[in-house]
Amino acid sequence: MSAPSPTRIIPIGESPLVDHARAQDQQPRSHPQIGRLLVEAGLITETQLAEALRKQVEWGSKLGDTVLGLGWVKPLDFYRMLARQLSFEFVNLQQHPADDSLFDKREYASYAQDLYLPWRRVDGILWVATADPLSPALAKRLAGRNDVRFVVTSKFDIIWDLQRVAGAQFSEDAVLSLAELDPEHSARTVVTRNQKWWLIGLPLLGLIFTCLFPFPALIVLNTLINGLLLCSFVFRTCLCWMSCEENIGIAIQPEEVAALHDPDLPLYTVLVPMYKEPTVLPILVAALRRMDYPKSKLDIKLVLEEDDHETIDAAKLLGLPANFEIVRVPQSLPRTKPKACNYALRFARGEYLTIYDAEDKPEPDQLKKVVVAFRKMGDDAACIQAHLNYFNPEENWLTRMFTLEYSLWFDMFLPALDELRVPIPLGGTSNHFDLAKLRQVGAWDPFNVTEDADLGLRFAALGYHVGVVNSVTYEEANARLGNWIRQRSRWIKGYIQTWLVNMRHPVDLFHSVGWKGFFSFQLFVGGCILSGLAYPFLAFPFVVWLLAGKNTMQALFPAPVLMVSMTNLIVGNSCLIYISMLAVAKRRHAALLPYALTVPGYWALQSVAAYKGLWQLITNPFYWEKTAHGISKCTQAELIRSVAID
Amino acid sequence: MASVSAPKPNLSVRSPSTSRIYRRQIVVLVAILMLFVVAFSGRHAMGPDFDLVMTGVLIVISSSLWFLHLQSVGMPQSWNILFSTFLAGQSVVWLCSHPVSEIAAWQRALGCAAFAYAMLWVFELHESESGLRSLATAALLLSIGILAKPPLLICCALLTVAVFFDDRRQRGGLLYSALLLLTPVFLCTIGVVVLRALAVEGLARLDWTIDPSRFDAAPLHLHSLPWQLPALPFCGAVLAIRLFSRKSGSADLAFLLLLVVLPTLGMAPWMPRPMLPLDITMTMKWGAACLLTLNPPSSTFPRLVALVSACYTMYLCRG
Repeated sequence: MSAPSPTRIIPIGESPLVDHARAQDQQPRSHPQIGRLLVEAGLITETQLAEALRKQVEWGSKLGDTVLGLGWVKPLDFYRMLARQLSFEFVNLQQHPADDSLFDKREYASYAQDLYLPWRRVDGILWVATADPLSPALAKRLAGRNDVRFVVTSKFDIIWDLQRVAGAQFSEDAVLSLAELDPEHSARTVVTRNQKWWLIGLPLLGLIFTCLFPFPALIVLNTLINGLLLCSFVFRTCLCWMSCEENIGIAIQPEEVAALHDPDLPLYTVLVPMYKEPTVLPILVAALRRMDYPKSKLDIKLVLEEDDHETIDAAKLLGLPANFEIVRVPQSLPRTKPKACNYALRFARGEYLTIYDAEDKPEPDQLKKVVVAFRKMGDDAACIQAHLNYFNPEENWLTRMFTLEYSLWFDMFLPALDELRVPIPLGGTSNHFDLAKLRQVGAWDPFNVTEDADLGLRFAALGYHVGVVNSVTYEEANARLGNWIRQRSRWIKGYIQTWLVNMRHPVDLFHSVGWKGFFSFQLFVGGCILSGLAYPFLAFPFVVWLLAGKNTMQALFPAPVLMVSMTNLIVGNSCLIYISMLAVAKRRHAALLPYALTVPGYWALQSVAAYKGLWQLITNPFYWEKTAHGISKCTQAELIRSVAID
Repeated sequence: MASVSAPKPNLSVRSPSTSRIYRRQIVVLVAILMLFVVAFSGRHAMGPDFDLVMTGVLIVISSSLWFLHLQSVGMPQSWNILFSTFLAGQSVVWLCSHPVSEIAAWQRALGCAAFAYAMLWVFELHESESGLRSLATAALLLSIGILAKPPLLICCALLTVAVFFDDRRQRGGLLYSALLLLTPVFLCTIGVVVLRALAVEGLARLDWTIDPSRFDAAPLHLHSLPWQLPALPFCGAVLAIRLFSRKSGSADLAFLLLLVVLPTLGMAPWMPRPMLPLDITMTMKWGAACLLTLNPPSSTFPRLVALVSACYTMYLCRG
């Protein structure tokens, strides 16, 4: 390696480094205790030290991680003390950045995960900046190298400096890694050439057939669409019927959670991707602080866009403990949540990883339940989805319907799909991953706007098990129609993307997920798309009948078309109404039961969103329709409550 | 990875046998529903030949389904074969001793009987299972029950509300409980009304009401009640077996109420579609068959009693 360029390195004096090198050569030797040093420096009190030592034993963590996780010491102060304890030099990488030329691209991942950087090379000695000089992983990595010496720095400095050097590379990887690793499963290409032929050829054929034989064509088309829809409704009703059982899915009991020993718990990474959401951040922070999980074993990353200064400032103002880190995502296209998550994934150090939205309120024992669930599920478990629901159902009709829908989706559909062992389209948040498997499958698709649903299917196709655990995360339901349409149109656009990606090779899909998985994918994901798009065609005859009377209707439509459409409209609506009722009954939201009768209206709104989504897929496929959070009246109350509890 | 401390959780979330039982339950339930729908939407206009073939198919399907259900609850196979053969035999004997013109009535009666069978099964499930499953099944079955004759539907709806009355607190009150139970049947009724109101040509085929005058058999009347006697030995034997083996529950009570309320409602002059004596007989036989299946006798003697009573019923069915 070349010598550091003097213009790039701010010299801190060569002789101290040489002295330190000599000192490090004389190891092993006894060090003063870090806790005692912190007390002597006045950073913590004796009482806090006693409490921290108790927690250290209880959690099975290092004392440093314990005090940092509890937020009793500022990270910079702590690492200075750590350096003093080990008689190492402390460096502030923001003032004395590392020498870029020493960085090895192949080692970027280990720099981020083992928290070290090659800092400088002086007189043939490689100085490594690390936040944990006693880390076994680091010792293993640098074993046998006599030319290495350490300086201590803060982990935040390492992340900051690594982003400075490798940020562009990480960003590029975040965008392109899946497209390069597995292009057939990337939505970067919306429609493949073969699919284009089908998408043009079939409608053209239909048009010709309709021109030649209008009545038979109409009947065939109508029967086909209605047949598929009817199957989809019946399938969903069957799923709900299955889920009426109390303990469907992975039901973790409180005693199983209580039987966990904290020292055995793994490091857990929590990603919180946000964009311009400074107001709701305290809700999540309060919820995470209340999590029943050792604070020293939480690796929380607030994933923020680097130009989102308002949220970055809001996060800084919260005075977060050291287990919260801010990851700044460089600006690049597509500007999507999965891209941001992919970027932050490079810095994830946990054994498991989960994603929460900014306004999420997970149940405190969720992480522990997931750990138990992973251990119960066996080696093929890749992901566990927690239930989602809303904390503001009573706000207006829309929030009630949204709550009803989420109860249906997460309490009824997904557990039943899990029971059937078929692909599960994951929900947007509270999905918990085995980090190694997540990396193995190439993580999220940054071009898919429902990256979570796509990931669930990709896991299933690779033979992994995606489960659903009985723990709830509460979110803010969309209370405004425009905002709701934006969000829903993105979801439906993403579902179409997911369907198109997975249907590039239908035979391969059939082989990889089996016949059950294949048909459930068609009926569930395909059915969602179709029900939104077909609604106007179902409702049209009914509207004509209402407005113009049966004579006009009979003149306009052939009898079989009418019969099938009307029956399907009635059966479909009846199924949706009743399964929604069952869902809220299971969730014990009795007050929402009568609102299930208004589901047909909600279905009509979904249809509007479906057409918007379809249009956007054609015109702007990778555009991420941002859902505004923090607009609910309840969120303000939730904020005050969160801060008060905190 | 660190390990969970004792007690060690199970490695498997659910046992494969549970999934198999689910599958079997679903298959049996779906098959019964299909049978029911097929029985009611049978093409009566197609003439006696079609009706005969259809009837044969229905006898085979219904006996096979009962065989499967008995098998799923652990009754030995040899007994299953005997029971289902006798059940099929009862139908065959009855059909042989009655004119072909009454076959349509028999088909509809079988539909009613299947409906009663499924409802009693759900009442029993309600006792053994917690959760919403039995309630949802009852509600969905009731919605299909609009294809059955109104007295039977009304009777089953009343029984359902009574059986699920205890759940009302769990479901947020009587109103919400009733809403959960009766919404599907109301939606279906509205659906039928709307489809009729549309009066679309072709929708006539969806007209579930069958003109009673099409059946040669006389409607139910007070003096036709002794006509039910052939079914009594089997019903009595099954109820007695369950009573003595201390397996009686809400399903038995519901069955007894059904036997009392159904003929009463069936004879009501305001009923749009009166019951036929055959409807009652079939409902009694299939209801008893259901009770026998729900808690099958575990020793030889009660099985033998049930079988002999079924045999005697078959003998009485010869008309």
